[in-house]
Amino acid sequence: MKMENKDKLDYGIYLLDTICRGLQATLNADKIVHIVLTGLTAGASLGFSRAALFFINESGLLHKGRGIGPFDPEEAAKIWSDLTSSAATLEEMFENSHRRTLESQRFPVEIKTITCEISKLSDDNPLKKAILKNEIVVLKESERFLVPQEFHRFVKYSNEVVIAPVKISGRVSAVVLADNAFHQRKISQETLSFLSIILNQAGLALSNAFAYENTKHNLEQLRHLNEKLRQMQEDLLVCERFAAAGRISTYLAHEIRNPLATIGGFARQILEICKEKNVDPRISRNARVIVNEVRRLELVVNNLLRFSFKQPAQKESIHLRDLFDELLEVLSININDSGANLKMEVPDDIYIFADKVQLGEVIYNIIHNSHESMKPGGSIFIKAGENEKDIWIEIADTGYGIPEEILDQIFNPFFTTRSDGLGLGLNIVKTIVEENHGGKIEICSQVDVGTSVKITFPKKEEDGKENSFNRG
Amino acid sequence: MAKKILLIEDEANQRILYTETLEKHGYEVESVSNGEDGLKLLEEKTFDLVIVDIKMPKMSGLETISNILGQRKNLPVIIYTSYPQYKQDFMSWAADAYIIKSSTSLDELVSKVKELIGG
Repeated sequence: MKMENKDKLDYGIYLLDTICRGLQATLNADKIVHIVLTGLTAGASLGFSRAALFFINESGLLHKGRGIGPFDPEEAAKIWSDLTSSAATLEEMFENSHRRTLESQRFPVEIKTITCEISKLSDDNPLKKAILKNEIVVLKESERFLVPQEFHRFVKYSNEVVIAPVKISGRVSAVVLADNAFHQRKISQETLSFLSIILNQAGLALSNAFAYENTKHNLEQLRHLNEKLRQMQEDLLVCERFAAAGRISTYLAHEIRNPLATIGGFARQILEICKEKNVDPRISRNARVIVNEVRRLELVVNNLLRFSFKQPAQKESIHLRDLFDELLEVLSININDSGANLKMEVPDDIYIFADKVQLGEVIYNIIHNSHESMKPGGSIFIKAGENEKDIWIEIADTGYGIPEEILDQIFNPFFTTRSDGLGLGLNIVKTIVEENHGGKIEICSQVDVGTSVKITFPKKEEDGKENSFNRG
Repeated sequence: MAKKILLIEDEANQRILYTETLEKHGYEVESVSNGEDGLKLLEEKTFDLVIVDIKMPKMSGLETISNILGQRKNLPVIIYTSYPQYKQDFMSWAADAYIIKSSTSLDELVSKVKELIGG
């Protein structure tokens, strides 16, 4: 060591000064412990050849030990030789880069494994006494095995053992054990005074370090909570915006629905007049275009309303074939006009217990999707059937199909691959089928081959009266 | 003798459409544009059925129905509206039927009228 030739007292003061400055310069508890242990064992002044510090938790468990020094004379010789040749200053030894060398010996490694319950020790045990009375205890050679059993293997080479408490934040929360093994020099009163000063300083430094850690942790928590709060405020704003958009779209939907009913109704009257009388076929075609386009608009409006207001199903017994005939009356002409084929196989004797309007929307949405994805000359097949438990409807097409990677997203609201769609149709279909009718929907699709949608409704005991509008 | 229907509907074009459609099916229809006029007409004349919209100026359909039921407890009433979300609210007490206006077809209205008063 560079200061080796100074006299003992000078060196002691230099050591004390260096340690205290080192302790003041850090808020890292780990480094504080390292500085204390290095300071106690460095050079000849304090005379300790080994030192260990243990923390004591609130339940009185001695644990998390850290030590510096050799386990036996052989290691002592090696460390001494290494440190002499390295010619490191005390400040350099305080730096973490030296910790690996100092703490890789057998002594520090074994110290780490030790735990000891203070409450289980007898009252005259010197370790317990030192902690309870908050005073330094020195064990002579003959007394050294009075330390708890767990420490016996370390005191084998000790001549004297010092046990010194460390008060952190007003409580003895750590204890230092140090000895003079290997060089056997007596531990002087001055050494104990220096030790007491160093440990007082260490206690203060550790109090600050823990308070700093605590504040840092609280600050981090506060930051986290603040971030959470900010996110929630943002979410709330988004929700409010959605709610406002929902109110506006609902208002618009109602305002649009009325004129649509009027336009569609009159266009249908024109169609009927055209059937009855011999009129220019273009009038009939044009009226049909109006009816179709109105129906398309009405679907958009209905989907929007259905999405905004979850309505329970008002179920009644419905003749399935009649419902299809009604829905397809105009839609089929539209499909045929676009060059596609529509084939329907719905038996005449199937009655389904469902909400007529909602079921109509389900079927119309699926057929509309099929028609939109249709290749020229393609076909749409509609089939229905029943078994003991269920009634099923299958709508298949020879359209472009749905890529596998988006198949699990198609029921998400606002998911669409089309430029003209809102992406609500299939979400509403799923809600109506599964939530409102306890049914299920399955989709199979292959790109460039087509898509098949199968909806299944559980059969109910037919009871048309259950949902009729009888006023009380 | 043709059954008489009172249509209370604030949209003039829809009054024409529904009147023509129901008349084509053999019913006699008188229409008014608001609930107040409807109630006045009910005091003066006898009807077999009332069709009423919900959203109307002056007196809402709901208020109109309450008044109708006060005067003529057993008179069949059909609510015919663009508002699907009130369907469950009116189900048990207000009317004999709740039909949602649609551009596709008036068949549901006609068949419900037939079911309630025949003809």
